[in-house]
Amino acid sequence: MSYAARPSGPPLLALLLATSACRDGAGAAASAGADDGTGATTIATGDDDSGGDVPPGSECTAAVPRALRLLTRREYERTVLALVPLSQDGDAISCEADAQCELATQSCVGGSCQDDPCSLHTFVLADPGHAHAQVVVAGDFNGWAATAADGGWPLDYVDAAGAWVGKRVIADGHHAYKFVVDGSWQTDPNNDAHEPDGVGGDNSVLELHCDGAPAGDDGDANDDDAHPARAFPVESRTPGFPFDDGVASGLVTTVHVEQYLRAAERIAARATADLAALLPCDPASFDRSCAEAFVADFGARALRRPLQHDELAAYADRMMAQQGAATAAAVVIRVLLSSPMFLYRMEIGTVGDDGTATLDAYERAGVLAYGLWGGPPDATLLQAAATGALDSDEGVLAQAQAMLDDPRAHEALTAFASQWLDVEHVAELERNASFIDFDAVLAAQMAAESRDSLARIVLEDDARWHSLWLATDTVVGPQLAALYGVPFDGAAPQRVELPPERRAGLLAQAGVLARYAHSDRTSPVRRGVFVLERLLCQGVPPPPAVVPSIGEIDPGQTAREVLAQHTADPACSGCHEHFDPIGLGFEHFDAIGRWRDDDAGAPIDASGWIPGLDGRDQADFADVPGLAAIVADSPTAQRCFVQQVHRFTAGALERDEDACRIDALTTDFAAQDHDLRALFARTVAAWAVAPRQP
Amino acid sequence: MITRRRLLQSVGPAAALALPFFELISPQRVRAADGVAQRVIVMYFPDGVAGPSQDGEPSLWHPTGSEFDFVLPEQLAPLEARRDDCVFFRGLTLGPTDSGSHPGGAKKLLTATDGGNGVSIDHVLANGVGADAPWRHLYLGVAANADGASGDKLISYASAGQSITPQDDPRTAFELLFGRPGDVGEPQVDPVAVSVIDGVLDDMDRLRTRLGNVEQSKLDLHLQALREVELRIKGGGAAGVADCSAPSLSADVPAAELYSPARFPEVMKAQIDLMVLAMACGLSRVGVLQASHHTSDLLMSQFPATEMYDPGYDMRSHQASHYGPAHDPAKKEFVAYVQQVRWFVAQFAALLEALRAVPELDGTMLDHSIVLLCTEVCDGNTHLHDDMPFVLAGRAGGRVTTGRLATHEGVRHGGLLAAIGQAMGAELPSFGDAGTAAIALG
Repeated sequence: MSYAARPSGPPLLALLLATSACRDGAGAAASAGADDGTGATTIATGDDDSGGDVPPGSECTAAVPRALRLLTRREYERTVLALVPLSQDGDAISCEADAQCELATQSCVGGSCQDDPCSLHTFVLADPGHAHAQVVVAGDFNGWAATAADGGWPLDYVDAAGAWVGKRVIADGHHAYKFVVDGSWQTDPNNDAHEPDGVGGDNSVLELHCDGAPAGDDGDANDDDAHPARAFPVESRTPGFPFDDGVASGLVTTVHVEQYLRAAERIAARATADLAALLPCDPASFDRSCAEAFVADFGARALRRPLQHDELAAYADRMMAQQGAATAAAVVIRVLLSSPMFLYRMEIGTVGDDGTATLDAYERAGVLAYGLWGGPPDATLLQAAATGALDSDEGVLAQAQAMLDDPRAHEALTAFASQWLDVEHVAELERNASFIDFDAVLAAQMAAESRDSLARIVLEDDARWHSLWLATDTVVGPQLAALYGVPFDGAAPQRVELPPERRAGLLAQAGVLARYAHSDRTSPVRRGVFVLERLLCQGVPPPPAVVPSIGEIDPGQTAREVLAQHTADPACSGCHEHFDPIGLGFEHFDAIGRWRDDDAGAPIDASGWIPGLDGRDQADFADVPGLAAIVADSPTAQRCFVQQVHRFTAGALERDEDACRIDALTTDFAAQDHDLRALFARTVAAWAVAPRQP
Repeated sequence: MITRRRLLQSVGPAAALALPFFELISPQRVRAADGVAQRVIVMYFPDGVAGPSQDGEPSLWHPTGSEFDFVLPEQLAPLEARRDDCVFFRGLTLGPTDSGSHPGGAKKLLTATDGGNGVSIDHVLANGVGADAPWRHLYLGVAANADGASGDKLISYASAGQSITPQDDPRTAFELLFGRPGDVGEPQVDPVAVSVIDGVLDDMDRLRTRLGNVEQSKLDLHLQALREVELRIKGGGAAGVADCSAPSLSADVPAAELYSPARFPEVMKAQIDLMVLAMACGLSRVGVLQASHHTSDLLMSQFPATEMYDPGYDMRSHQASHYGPAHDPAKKEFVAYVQQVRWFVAQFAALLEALRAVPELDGTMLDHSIVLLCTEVCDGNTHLHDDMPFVLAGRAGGRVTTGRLATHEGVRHGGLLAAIGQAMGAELPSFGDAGTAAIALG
């Protein structure tokens, strides 16, 4: 059979040809677009040295479809929690370190104190005078290792708390442990649960039931508050579209409606618990003017735009029809949170004199906020919309760039990365019992590294595209450091340096390598297809109707020997010749991403090639760092990444008409020295200002 | 307050409100009576069966013999006790599919339309003859969304080209249908909930007016869902159903373990029982139960206490389905594949037994149901869509003559789906993009 591409991924050649279509326009975008600048001022802050710059592709005239974009579960949760924050004090406590938060229950995440997930347990040993030199947790979860060198969990001394503290992800179930304080074993004084240790003393006992099982009513309740969309249906994803925010598949079923109503009831109850703080008036003197003032403020924040007169009147009427201020407020909050106006991000626009539609300033604010923060516009951004700062293309771009200085950008970037790499479910992977190191703790650390690394490079490091592929430093937890074979001291995630001859960038991350493997062995096919589809945007056709069997896999064969049958059989080679040579390059990494020197006793040949890359016959590499270098330098990979960012932003696969904008963004990406930060800001801005179909 | 979900006594004034475009594609409603099924349940399992092999050996799935005198092969053995309640098929074909293989078959399985570019039969019936039930449509999954399954792995199409996702968590589904443990007391209309749903419908009206025909089909679906919930809220559960006084889950698996292969059989049982319970309580007439999804990585070798159990060897569903060119009993994949298919057939048999355990009218629920077992390809290794391995069960209130081997050589399976629709009382002379006329089931 021939190697045909699915619609979701145009063949490489077609992509390269299409690139030339409006390359000239793209290059000139920066200067040409400045002419129609309105000179509107922005309220953007930060290092904005791009004054007058417009988003790439501003000259592209093909209008994009108007759309209602159903909030994804993560977007819904961000939107609700911004509207009705978990802490009744309003703003979450900002922090730079865990020590500034409630040590036993919170961690400092993304600049604010967040409640720890149920599975993250905090060990604390009070020591106000710092009398001890070392405290280690030893238990069944780490083989009762009494020292850090043997795999015990050392606690860190936190001056502010006058205590030894450590946080660990612990699997559900029954666990026994002790503290080893300067070499002597003792139970945990903060834990009353004990059981005999079999040698005349006691062990401390932890019973963890974190997901679904009864963890006490309060635990469940708080978790529901923090994850109000937990029971919502998962998003259906169109084949070939990697993201959860697909415009076409965001459909509301009866199950959605029921869950929206339930969640809204719960959130309204929480919001109205302190009525005096919620309402702009004394609840005892609640009247229509109070209702209108409340609706005007809360409604505008919920719908991410000012209310129109008829809406304001309708909501106020509904409040006045209830018995008492508390019910009035609860009803209108429940209506707002279940309203289609709340549940859809509007990308509708208004038709101008030229016959095309343009998103209004509040819709643009929504594109920027959900695209760059993964959540709703805040008061500042809505104010920018109100004052005309988003009316011009320049204003939108300046705002977008400033928004990446905000810690909320972490949310959008991790959502993008985990879906682009498809590592969202690494923590739940099943692995054969022969991988004894692969437990819930290691899996969680693998998932975290792969989810967070792009955001870290963009927001904290040099934001360079090449760093995604070539960086040899990363941030990992202790179990993952052990898997990587690098020294590690302490318990908290920290930056480590990886052996550059073995590992480089995303392609050598254990989370990525494990995601594209089987439960009991590697999968060069999955790894190769991953590179083709996700990194090079090449479609891979489904297997032919009649797949010849490759015969039973002999455990004594190397993966390369097994896959040689693909090359030998013409019915297979038509497709497999495109991804097997890539996937075999990963063979030094087993099914949990651990380095191995041999496969089935035979030395590993990790050389390979990418067929037909960038117009060459093939791009050869000797190992994964070599493959990573090819990807980093490949114009095809760079354009594909732009496409993926565009897909995430637009909520759709690109249409033929979108080639102009994507070409412009790709050219601009190179012109910006492959700065990822610029790419995200400029792609989202370009989408916000793109003309809409009338 | 959330009231316990109860059967509606009356549909109330809202029933007079015009429904959007679904009226156009829905079969006309026919009042349920004798000779009409009370409910339809579709059960799906992944990755085909051991059918005709690549080397040309005959099928190990299809019964052999004549219409009323046939032998069930090994994979269908779990249905031996219920064979008189079943219709087995020969010859039905899906016809051509856009992407072939597993995805092409899955998209066409319930839509009978290439590429899934049509509303699937379950939604057609839900919007038509099933629309008066408190829940038009129940879609329960067993790890059906696992592995981040994409849309073409789901078989229920609410609108052309767009599949929806099933509920994989029996606990969540149960609470949706029957309320949470704290929701006690006599069911009644909650005026606050009524005000909320009215407000939401007002907003929907305002939005639709503002947008005109922009995104109209998306809002039509949304409005239809709102109307269904409105009926439930305003009905308030006036008429209790005797059998539903103390519903409970038959298995409660923590959310974190829903996708663990070792828990799959428990979740499967919980969803089967929940489906039967919801139907027995009159909560719905149309249900789809999807076990896993095509090209599945489900480690069936980890199902405890089954003949497939092998802790030393990881055997995935899709891996086993590629058992090789021949039916070779010396091959691990082949042996496991037959066992896996037989396990799914046994789940279907369990569903039938659960229906049979509930008395209804002059017989049991099974007598008044129509139940379909399906998968997206015939032989899992050759991926062909001919001689599809459908099994129908239930007499549909006398409409279906069971205990048969029915042969419809080369007929598109849209004819079977149309016949199921007719058995449900829908006027559905044909179904699917080939306009295939309903086959006779009587």
